[in-house]
Amino acid sequence: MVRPPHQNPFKLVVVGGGGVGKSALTIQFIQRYFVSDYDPTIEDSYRKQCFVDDDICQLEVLDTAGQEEFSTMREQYLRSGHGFLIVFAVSDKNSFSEVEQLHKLISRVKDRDDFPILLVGNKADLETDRHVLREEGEEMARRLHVPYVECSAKMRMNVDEAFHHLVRLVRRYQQSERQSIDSSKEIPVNTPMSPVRRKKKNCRIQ
Amino acid sequence: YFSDFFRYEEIMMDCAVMANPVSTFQSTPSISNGSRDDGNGENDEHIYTNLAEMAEINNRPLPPVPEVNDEVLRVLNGGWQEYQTQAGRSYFHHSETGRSQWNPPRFLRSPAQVQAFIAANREKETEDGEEGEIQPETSPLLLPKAISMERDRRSLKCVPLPHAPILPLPTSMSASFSLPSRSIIADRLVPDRPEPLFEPPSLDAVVAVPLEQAPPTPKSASFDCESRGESSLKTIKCGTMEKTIDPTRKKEWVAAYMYLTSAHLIIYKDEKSAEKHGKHYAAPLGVCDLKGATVGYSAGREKKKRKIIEVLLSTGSCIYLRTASEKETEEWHDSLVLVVKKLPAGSGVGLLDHTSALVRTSSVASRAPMCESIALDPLPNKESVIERLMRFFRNRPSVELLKQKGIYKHEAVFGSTLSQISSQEGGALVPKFLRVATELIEARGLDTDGLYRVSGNLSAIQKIRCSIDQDKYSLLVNETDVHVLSGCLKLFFRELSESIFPPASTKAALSAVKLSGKARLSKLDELIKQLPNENRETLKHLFKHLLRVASHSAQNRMQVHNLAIVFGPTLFSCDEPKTTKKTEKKEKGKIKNDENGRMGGQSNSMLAYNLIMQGQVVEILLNDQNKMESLKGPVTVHP
Repeated sequence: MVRPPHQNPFKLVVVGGGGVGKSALTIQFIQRYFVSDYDPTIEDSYRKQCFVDDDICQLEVLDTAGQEEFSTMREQYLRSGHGFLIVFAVSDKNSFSEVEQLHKLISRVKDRDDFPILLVGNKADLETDRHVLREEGEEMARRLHVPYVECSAKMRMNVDEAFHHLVRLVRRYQQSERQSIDSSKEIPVNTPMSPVRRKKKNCRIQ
Repeated sequence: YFSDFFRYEEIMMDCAVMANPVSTFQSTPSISNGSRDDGNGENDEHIYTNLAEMAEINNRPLPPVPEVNDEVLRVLNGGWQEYQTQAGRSYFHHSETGRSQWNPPRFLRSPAQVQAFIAANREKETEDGEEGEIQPETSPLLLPKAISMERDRRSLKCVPLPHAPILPLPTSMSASFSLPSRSIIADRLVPDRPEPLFEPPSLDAVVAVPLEQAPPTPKSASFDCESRGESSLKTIKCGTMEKTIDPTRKKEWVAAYMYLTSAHLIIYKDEKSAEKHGKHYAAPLGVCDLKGATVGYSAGREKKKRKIIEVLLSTGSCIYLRTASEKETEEWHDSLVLVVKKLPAGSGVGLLDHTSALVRTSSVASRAPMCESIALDPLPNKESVIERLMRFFRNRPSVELLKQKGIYKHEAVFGSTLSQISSQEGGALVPKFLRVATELIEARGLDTDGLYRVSGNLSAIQKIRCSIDQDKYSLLVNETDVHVLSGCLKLFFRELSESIFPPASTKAALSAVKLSGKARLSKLDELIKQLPNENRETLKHLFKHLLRVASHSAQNRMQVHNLAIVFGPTLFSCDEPKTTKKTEKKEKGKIKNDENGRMGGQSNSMLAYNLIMQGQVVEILLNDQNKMESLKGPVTVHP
């Protein structure tokens, strides 16, 4: 029996530097409240069902650790994620400088530069303490070819929008992937030309 | 436990959100920012600051049709031209069909078409006129070009190859691209060992496929006829010979296994590689077309040493062959002469000339011969890239050598061990770096929010690391960002080649956490007592510092618990015991296979579990520092 597509959960992964508010954002989205305690996350996973563009979808949101110390966990979630929220705090320049690195990491693991990724500038309510201008965020987003959204987990501003937009990106991406697989089916697998299922060759240098 | 936050109301709320996005927007508090507030109420426009741009890229169904005065970036085969939008995105336009597309045109041909192509080719000998129907740009072998263009749009210029448009560019040498012709050739061209017999028509088809790409002239077809007319292509002789292209150099002689057929000399690395591997034959090192070749003995060498056969191919390149015994050489010579005699002289197209492949070391060439093989102009005397690379790697001195010469040094502080640092610093039990760093942090930033949690600028941290390794502390002392200082401190512990808790005691510590009350404390106490002096005093120093940080938790929000989570993986060795590593790998494999498996499956939860436990150990140690003998009392820096 073929399962309806919406039963396969979208695995959304929230990444970003330490203390930028990944957990606050995630919990605000999932449970609709602002966490005030300040525990560093190791890794938490949440599930939620919601409507995006009149279509029901299962979400599995993985909240990750931002500290370098926990980078051993990275490999796994980078591989399994369907879409990524790269979060930085607009009040923290350092977290902004980590964005590019994370984007590079995801692109490398996925071997794609058009993977569904959304850049999120969190803590936008701290307008007085802002260290990353909106223009800088936009500039970065333009460079990385990803959408940029500023939000505030505390004020619940643009939180749902960010996650929902990521769902749209994932949907669009998966659809285009499916199409390219369908079109490649015209070429039988056994032709060595088939670019999609290319068997890996051994390294040539001895 | 977190997994089912599925609530009916939530769905309903989401429905409401979707049904009335404008109201949601208004209800969310927005930043007072001119450009944001005066909108037409369209939700997206306010949220996604670069949404318009993204929409242009993602949603626009078709790229624009270029204006007349738009600059053509490149001209591709088949009437395609590359342009750029104003936003800088390149797209492709076909001038005749008027079609525009974002993706580079792919010149793919379905297998059916390829079959038809080959079939048409066979008919060609009778109907010469049909050739024109097959357009070169539909060649399946153009694919590599299209792909490489896609990969590297800016740097790679599309160079239309003058002689043979089908050739994969030498730079895009890839097995898969050369496969089609190779596999066919390997299948058909190479004789079946037990019954060495060629099927002439299929061979012609094979030869004709690449040939067809050269400007179609009646000549190519006539070539097929000729070789076809030439009885059956049998293996006349096979065996091992040594070959070279320069007989004056002794070292150039390479042994190879050769097949002599009625038209070609097929060269393999050795007998084994000439055998059938599964369904396919491996690609030969080279194939020499003997048409128009002259065979003779190399002059001057005859008397001194072994006889050398000289085969001058119609392309002008020369191969020298020799065998172990004179008799064998003569046999080869005679059969070669016989074969060449039978072939029509002079009409040979040096299509499968492999002299360039012969220059390469055999092992390398055996893997990628076809790219070379079709090359009409072999690069004369130029070293192959691979060869040069190999030489480079061979000439590089080893790490040991560099260490001996004193060029490569171990880092003095980061990546060292505590005992090494201690002996370097005259027996001080707590590393100088740690003392300085903690002092700086305590002086400048105990109230910093998220101290030890928020990450510092990584490049600044690395800079400090390098300067500390050279015993220069000015960079560290002058650093104003406390998060960089704390990042350095954490990095120091992570980089220790032996972590403060060695792997053995890590395991013991983790099991001790499962105990409770006094038993747990005494177990941990015991464990710390067993640690080397440096480790224990360093730990003491760090814990004292962390408690000071925690005492400011009202300002920095870093309670003992939070600090412990961060310092768990910092203080403990991340090398898992071997058993868990094994299972981890297995689990990873499972997850990979099971696409629907829950994210962060077993392996990661195991990892997470360990990290949590490590954090708990640190928390217990921090909380009960005064109850433990091993951690009590002042830190002794100098024994």
